Amino acid sequence: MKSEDLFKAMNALPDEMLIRSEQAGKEKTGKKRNHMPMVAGAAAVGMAAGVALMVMFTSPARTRSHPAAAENASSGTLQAAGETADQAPYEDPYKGEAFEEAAPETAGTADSGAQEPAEAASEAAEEAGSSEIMLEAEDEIEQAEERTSLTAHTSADLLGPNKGDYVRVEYISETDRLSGGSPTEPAYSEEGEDALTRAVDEGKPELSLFGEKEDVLYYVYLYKADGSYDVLTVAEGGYVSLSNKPGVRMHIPEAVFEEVIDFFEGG
Amino acid sequence: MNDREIIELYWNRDERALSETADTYGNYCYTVAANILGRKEDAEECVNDTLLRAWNAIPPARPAVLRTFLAKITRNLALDRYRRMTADKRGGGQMDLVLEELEECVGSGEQAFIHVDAGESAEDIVQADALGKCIREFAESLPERECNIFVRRYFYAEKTTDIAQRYGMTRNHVSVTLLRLRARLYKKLRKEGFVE
Repeated sequence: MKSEDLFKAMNALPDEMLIRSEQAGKEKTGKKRNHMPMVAGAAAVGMAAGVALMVMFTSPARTRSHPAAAENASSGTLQAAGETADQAPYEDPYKGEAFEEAAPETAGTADSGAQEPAEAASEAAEEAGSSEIMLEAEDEIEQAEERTSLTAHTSADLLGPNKGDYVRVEYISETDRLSGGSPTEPAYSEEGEDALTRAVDEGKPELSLFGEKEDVLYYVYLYKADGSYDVLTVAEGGYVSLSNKPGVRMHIPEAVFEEVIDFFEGG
Repeated sequence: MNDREIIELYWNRDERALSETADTYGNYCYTVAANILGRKEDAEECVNDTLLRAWNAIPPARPAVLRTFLAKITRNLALDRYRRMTADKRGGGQMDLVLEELEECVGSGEQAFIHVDAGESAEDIVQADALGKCIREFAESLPERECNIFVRRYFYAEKTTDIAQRYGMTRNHVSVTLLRLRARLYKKLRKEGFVE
């Protein structure tokens, strides 16, 4: 049998099923979604889950939590499992498209954005040969550097008050992982950090005694300074679990999760 | 004009049946063909062929749902045309991707199941019917949303981005869902002896 035969055999699908697939689409088409910028999105799903779980596991009072409980557990178990999972050839025609497009644009925002005007002014001053202009340019550079230092956040800062001793965050979609892609480090954004807070506030912990049933959408790696990491698994339906905390997971409300999950796609 | 009235025109051999069908379902058939073929000209020709095929099929056929009856004719014609286009090294619709994905469900290609093509023999027809029944059972066993995604991708050859938009999902979510559906379908086909 060839794949064409299989495609042709789909003609046996009942009429009502074909019609239903259209009607269901019509109902959803008008749905308005509130998209946030890609920068926030890249961070938010994983971060939302991460913060939610960290708070859930480490601080019932939801004060500044430290993932101390995670330190003694083995890290990266989910990633290891993922790496040995089904490696059947799978080519996603959209592999990493949104991420690859967005990351270069956003990665250097904090550094370059503030300094560009100052550099331009400096260049103008050199061309003019004016000491007064040079002084103004130097002032501007100093101010730009000050602004830069204030805005030079790391990806871990997306965790906000729940950052703990995590120093870096990376994520990868299940599709990209299966097609051999590598995790990406999101850039910081205030929107992303805000989204995490919302997910933490509205997420609910629940027992997951029989393992994950939902399809995995994203893996998020939370790195510590010593190179070890914890892995968050973000699954369909708003379920998030942490690698070193089996049996418990966080359920993020659909409305929040849908908004957050869109971030990965860049809106 | 509703479906019943259009079908009556066919039965009365009234050529207005063709124009009414084109007005009502022309765009729909075009979309089905374009998903598979990619090229505007080919899709338009495919729609014309669909009308002719419908004219020849009704009567004796009296489709319960004209829309899906036409869609199935369009698919068959588009697939035939796709094969010719592939031989000519042209094309650009979703079909390459869809067939590539479905390859995962049929294994290495050295299966016991004989090639089904145009119902050339009684045995072919029996096998094709059995495969169709298997596909139908598989789809009916799926939760509604997964079933809808399966139908949009493998019946209508719709882009994953369009499916995602249609159902308010992310593209990645659709891709992952389809990946798992293909794995499940392969399992069923294997269990039922269609693939080894």
